[in-house]
Amino acid sequence: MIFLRACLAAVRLNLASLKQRIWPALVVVVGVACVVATLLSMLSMTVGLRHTWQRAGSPDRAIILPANARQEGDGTISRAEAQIIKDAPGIARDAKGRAIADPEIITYLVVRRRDTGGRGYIQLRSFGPEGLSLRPEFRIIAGRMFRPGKHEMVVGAEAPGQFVGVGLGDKITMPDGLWPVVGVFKTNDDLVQSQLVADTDTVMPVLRQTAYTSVTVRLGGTNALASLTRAITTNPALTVTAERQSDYYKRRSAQFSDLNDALVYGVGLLLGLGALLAAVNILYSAVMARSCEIATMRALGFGAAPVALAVAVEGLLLALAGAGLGASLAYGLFNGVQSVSGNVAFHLAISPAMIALGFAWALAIGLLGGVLPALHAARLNVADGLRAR
Amino acid sequence: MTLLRGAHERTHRQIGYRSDPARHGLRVKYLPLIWAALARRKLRTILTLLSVTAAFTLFGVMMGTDAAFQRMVDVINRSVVVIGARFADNLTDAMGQQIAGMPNVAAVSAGGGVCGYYRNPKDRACVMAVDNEAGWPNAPITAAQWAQWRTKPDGVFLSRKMAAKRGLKKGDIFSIVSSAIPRADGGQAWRFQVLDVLDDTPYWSGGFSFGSYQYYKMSRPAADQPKAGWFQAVVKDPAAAEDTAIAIDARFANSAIPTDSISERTMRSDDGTEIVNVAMVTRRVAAVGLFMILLLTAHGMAQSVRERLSEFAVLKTIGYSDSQVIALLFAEALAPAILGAGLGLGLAALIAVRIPKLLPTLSLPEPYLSPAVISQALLAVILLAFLSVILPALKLRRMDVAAILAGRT
Repeated sequence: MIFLRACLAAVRLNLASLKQRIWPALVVVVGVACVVATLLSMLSMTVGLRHTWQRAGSPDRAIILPANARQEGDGTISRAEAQIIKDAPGIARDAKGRAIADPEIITYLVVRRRDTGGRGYIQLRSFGPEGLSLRPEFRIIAGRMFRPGKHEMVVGAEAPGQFVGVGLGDKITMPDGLWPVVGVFKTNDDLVQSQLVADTDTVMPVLRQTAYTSVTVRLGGTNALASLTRAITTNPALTVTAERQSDYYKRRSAQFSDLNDALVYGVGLLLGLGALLAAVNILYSAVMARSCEIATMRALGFGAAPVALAVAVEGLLLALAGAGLGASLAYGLFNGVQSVSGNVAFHLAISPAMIALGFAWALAIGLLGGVLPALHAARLNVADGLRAR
Repeated sequence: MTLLRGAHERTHRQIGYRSDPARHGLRVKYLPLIWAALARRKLRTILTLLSVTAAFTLFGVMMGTDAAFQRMVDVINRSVVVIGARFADNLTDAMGQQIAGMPNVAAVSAGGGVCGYYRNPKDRACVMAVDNEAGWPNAPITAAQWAQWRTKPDGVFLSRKMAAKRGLKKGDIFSIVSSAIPRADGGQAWRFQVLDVLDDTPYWSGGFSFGSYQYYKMSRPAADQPKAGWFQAVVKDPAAAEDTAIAIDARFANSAIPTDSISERTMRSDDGTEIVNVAMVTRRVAAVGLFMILLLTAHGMAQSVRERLSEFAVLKTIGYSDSQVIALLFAEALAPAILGAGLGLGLAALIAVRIPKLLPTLSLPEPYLSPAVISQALLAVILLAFLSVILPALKLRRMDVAAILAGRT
C-alpha cells in the first residue's frame, strides 16, 4: 500500500514537471503520432481494398471457370459447355425448375481515368436472365435497369468517380456505336460497383464473342459444392473448375493484400524504430535534466522502483497521447476517402481494430522507450545527483 | 573543457593564418571541437545516428521504388506508338500495311504472344513474338543479337531471371503448352529453343522471353495467319507520337476492328499508376520519416546548446565570431546526419535487392538508388542539419555573454 502510494506520488511529481519539459514531450508525442498515422493510412488502404474484393463473393454462390484460367475473363466456356454445367447437380433451381446459373462474359473497355487523365480500363460484365435472381445485393439507385435486347447498360456507383464519361446519361463507345448508360446500381460495396453491366445476349454478338468467360451459380442442396465439382470435373466434355465464390475472391485478393501487408508492416516497423529511438533519447535526457530532482526524491525516501516506474509511465503516457493524435489525424484525413487500385475503386477504412493496433504499436514504443531511461533513473547515485546543477 | 582546448590552440595559430598549410591546420583543429561535442553525450549521439539511419533506410527504399518506376518510363524514347484492338479482338496484317502508309510513320512491326505453361500448369510462361527489329528501337538488344535472332525462327532470347527460374540455359528446349493460340498441327505445344540467356533490363523489368513472329505466324492455321496481336509503329517525329496515335485510332474508328493506340512512353507511365498511385504513397512515407527525424535532431541540438551555453559564451569571449560558432553547431548536427544517411542508404540498397523476391506478385521493380535519389538524400541531410540549428543559432546570437559567464542565467 505504501509502495503504491509512493508510486502514485512519484508519477504525479513527474507529470507536474512535464510543463517545463513541454517541447521534448511534444517531440515524442508528434513522433509517435507520425508513426501511428502512417501505419493506419497504409493499413486503411490494404484493408479497404481487400474488403472490396472479398465482399463481392458469397458463400452460397459458386464460380465456374475454365480449368486454365487464373481469373475471371481468362479462357472461354462454350455455349454447349454452359448448358451441360446448368444441368449439373448442386445448383439451386427456381420454382419452374430452371437452374439459377448465369453464364457471363467479362471484358475491358477503354476509357479515360479521372485522376491521372490517362488511359484506363473499365470492366464490362454481362448479366443473363438469371443475373438478378443470382445477386440479391444488386439494386438500381438511379435511372432504371437495362432492357434485355436493347443496346444500353447500367453503371456501378463507384465507376463515375474514377472514369470520365461513364455516368448516368453518358454514352459508351461499343463496336456498333454508342450505348447509353441508363441506370446506376449498387451492390455490396464491392468491386462490381466499379464495373459496367449489360445484357449477355446483346453484348456478345456486338463484341463478336461466341463463348462465355465464366458461369456463376447459386449452390443448392446438401454438399452442393462437392457434388457440383464432382459432376463437372468428371465429365469429359468439360474442362472447368468450380470454386465457392467467396473463396475465389478471397484467394484473388490474397495475392496482393498479403504482400501489401508485408509492405505496410515493414514501413511501420522502420518508422516505429525511428520513433522508439527518439523516445529513448528524449526520456533519457529528461532523466538527466531532472537528476537533481530525482536524487532529492530518493533522499526523501522514495525507493528506486517508484522513481523508475514514474519515468516509464511518462514514456507510456506520451506514446499513448501520440497514438490518440495520430489515430484521429488518420481517421479525419483518410477514413472513407475513395481510392483506386487498377480499375477497382475502394474506400479507405479505419476500423476500431486498426486503431487498437495503432495503440498497441504506440504502447510498444512507449514501453520499450521508457525502460533504459527508467533503469538509469533507478541507478542514479543520490550524492552525485544532489550536487548536479 | 575539451571544447576550449581547440579554441586555445586556434589563437596560437592565428599568426600563420594566411599561409596555406597553417590554414589547413586550422580547419583540422575544428574537428576535435566537433568530436568533443558529439562524444560528450555518447548515448544521445548514437541514438540520433540510429534514428537517422532508420529514416534514411525508409527514404532509400521508398524513393528508390519511385525512381525505379520512373526509370521504367525514362528508358523509353518517345518514337514508338503501340496499337492494339480497342475491343477484345485481333488486328489484321492489312491494318499494319495501312498504318505503315500513314504520315509520320517510319516502320511498323507486328507482335504476338504465346501464353501457356512450361511443364507444370502452375508455371505460367509467355513468349512474345516480334516481327522485326525496326519496331523495337527501345529494346536493349544489340545488332549482333538481332542477327542471331534472325537466323533461327524457333529461337528465343530469355532473360536471366526467366531462365534461372526454370533452370534453362543456352540451347535448351523451352516448350510452352498453350490452348489460347490454336496451331496448324492441332497440337498445343509450342517448341522454342533458347538462343541465349541475356541480362535483365529495366525495359522489361519483369524479365523477358522473345522469339520470332514469322515462326509464330507460320505455326498457326492459315485462317489465323493474317491476325496480329498488336503493332508497334515507329514515328519520324517523336513530338507528334500522341497525334499519330490519335490519327491511327480515328482512321479505324468506324472499321470492323477499331484500334486503341498510345505512345509506349505514356503507356508505361499509365501502368505505373495502375496498381496504386505508387509515387504518392512512397513520397508521403519518406516525407513522414524525415519530418520525424527533423523533430528529433532539432530537439537534440536545442538541448545540447542549452546545456553548453556557458561554453559557447567562453568561445565568443575569446574571439569566435557568431558565424564561426554557428558553423561549429551546424557541423555538429551534420556529422551524425550524414553518417546515418550513408548507413541508411546502404541498408536500403541491401533491402532493395530482396524486394522483388519479397513481393513477387506485386511486380514492384527493385528500388533504384539513382544518383538523383542519393543527391535528394544529401540535400535532405543538409536541410535537416540546417533547420535543426536555426533556433539554437538564434539563441546563441542573442545570448548575453557577460550574464552567462557570471552564472546569472
